[in-house]
Amino acid sequence: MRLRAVITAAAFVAIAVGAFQPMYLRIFAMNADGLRAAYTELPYRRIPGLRKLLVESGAHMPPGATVALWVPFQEWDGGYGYAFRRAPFLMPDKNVVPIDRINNAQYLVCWHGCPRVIGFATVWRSPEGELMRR
Amino acid sequence: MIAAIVTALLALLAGLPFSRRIGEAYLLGVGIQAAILCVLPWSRPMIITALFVWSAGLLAWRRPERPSLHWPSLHWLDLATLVLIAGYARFATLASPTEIDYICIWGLKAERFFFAHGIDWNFLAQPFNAFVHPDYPLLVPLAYDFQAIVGDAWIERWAGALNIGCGIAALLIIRSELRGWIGALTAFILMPLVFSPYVGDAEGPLIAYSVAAILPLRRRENVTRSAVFLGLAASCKNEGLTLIVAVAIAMMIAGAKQLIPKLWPAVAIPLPWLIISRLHHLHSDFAAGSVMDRIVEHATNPAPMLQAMASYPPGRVIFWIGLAAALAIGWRRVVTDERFLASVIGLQLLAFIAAYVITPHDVSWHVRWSWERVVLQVTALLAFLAIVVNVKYLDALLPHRDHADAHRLRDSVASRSAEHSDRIDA
Repeated sequence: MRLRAVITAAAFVAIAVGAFQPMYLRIFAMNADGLRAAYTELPYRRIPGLRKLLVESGAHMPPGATVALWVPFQEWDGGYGYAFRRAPFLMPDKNVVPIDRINNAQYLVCWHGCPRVIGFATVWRSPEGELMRR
Repeated sequence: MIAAIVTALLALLAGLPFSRRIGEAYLLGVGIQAAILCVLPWSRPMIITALFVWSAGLLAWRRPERPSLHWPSLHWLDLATLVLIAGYARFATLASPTEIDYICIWGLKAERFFFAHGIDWNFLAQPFNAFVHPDYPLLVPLAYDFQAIVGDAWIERWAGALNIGCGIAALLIIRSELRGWIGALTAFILMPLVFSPYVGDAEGPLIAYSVAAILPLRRRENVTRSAVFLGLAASCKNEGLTLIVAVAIAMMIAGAKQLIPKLWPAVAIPLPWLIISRLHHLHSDFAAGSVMDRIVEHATNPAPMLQAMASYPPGRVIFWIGLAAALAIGWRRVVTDERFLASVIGLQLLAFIAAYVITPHDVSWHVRWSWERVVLQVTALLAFLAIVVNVKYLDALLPHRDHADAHRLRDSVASRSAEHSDRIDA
């Protein structure tokens, strides 16, 4: 009985150690502002500036506008999907459509500058990219 | 969050006892909030008025003669758990959730619906928005929307509050299952398993509803109320649907098949969404293409799936070693008194694996990005099982002054087991 108790206690210690998340203690000593800034950029880190571009360009469009997204990656799994899936969250009151539906779009937002697109003119530009309107 | 707390407190004042029921009331409150958004216009005055009318109705219906506000005695370990909860609360609300499933599924739907003042069926139906998994149930996005409507602004970093509330609710329920220092120890050990690190995703609420549903069913207590929580679990994620099946089969295994009809709320609650989503042609990606071909392919060549599971294990190895050792020591109780809980966990794990067998995605990719997260849905229950089957062995390690408490605890477990047998016999 005593041996089983010792093994049980050891098993409980292993479960506790294995489940423990030191982050929940460390976080009290961490710089909240720095961590907040890092967390905010974290989901968009593979396309630097994308979050800032989409948030700022969203402010230059009316609610309900249909906007196509352009990034210099054609393949869905090769970068386009990464940007497209994140865009609606950053522009929740806009209708974000993929670049192949540009004919339905009133606006075009491009990361790091737009290609020449007939019928669209630049309305706003930043170091992160450009916004065009039909 | 505020609305859910108010709801929970009003439920308490309506005659429900303290501690455990505050957890149940919170979870029920979140479910009712989502239901309110399914039937009422999304306007702040309307929602707040509905909240007060409903609460007043609840008070009138169950006016307590003497509200029970008794709080169970606390152990110093509870303070350690509270410190961890405070750390989690800081972690969860430091910034808007960073989980990709929050940004592409749960948070995106909620945010989109909030700005559209209702469920945006057009958004869900667009083929290029298939990545949002339009067929997933809506309880979690609607819970975020309720927060946003009451607060009159998008919730940003306060989305994490739902995870905190659900974690606390689940831990209160777990803490009330075992008395004394064992209860405190269990809560301390299970805290990181109950408070999902996937902040913003549906795992946190799903874990809480699973705990609220399954732990009382171990004793065949409050079957209908447990079924309500089971239905709410199925309204969080599709894994909740397989959990209903797992519970029904586990009841048969545990010799309580006569109670299965009492689980009807578990089916009735998610059913409207299942019907409406099909009417809107919102299908799961699992149903795409030839399911049979994929089953044959993955079943005849399971190596990629197993390799991926080995390459991306859920959690730390030491956790699983401890768990295996504890279950091995208490195996006799696992297969007797606790065979319901053990069966539910085992069947649900099989359902997770079945999902990989029929997945339309690359199986290695699918396992890599979901295995740890989905297994977390049952690890709290698994760790609870490992602890509860070994309670008596800890007796021998207790200092003398704690023996009386341990005996009381053991008697309590034994009497509950006897109560089980009586109910099953009845």
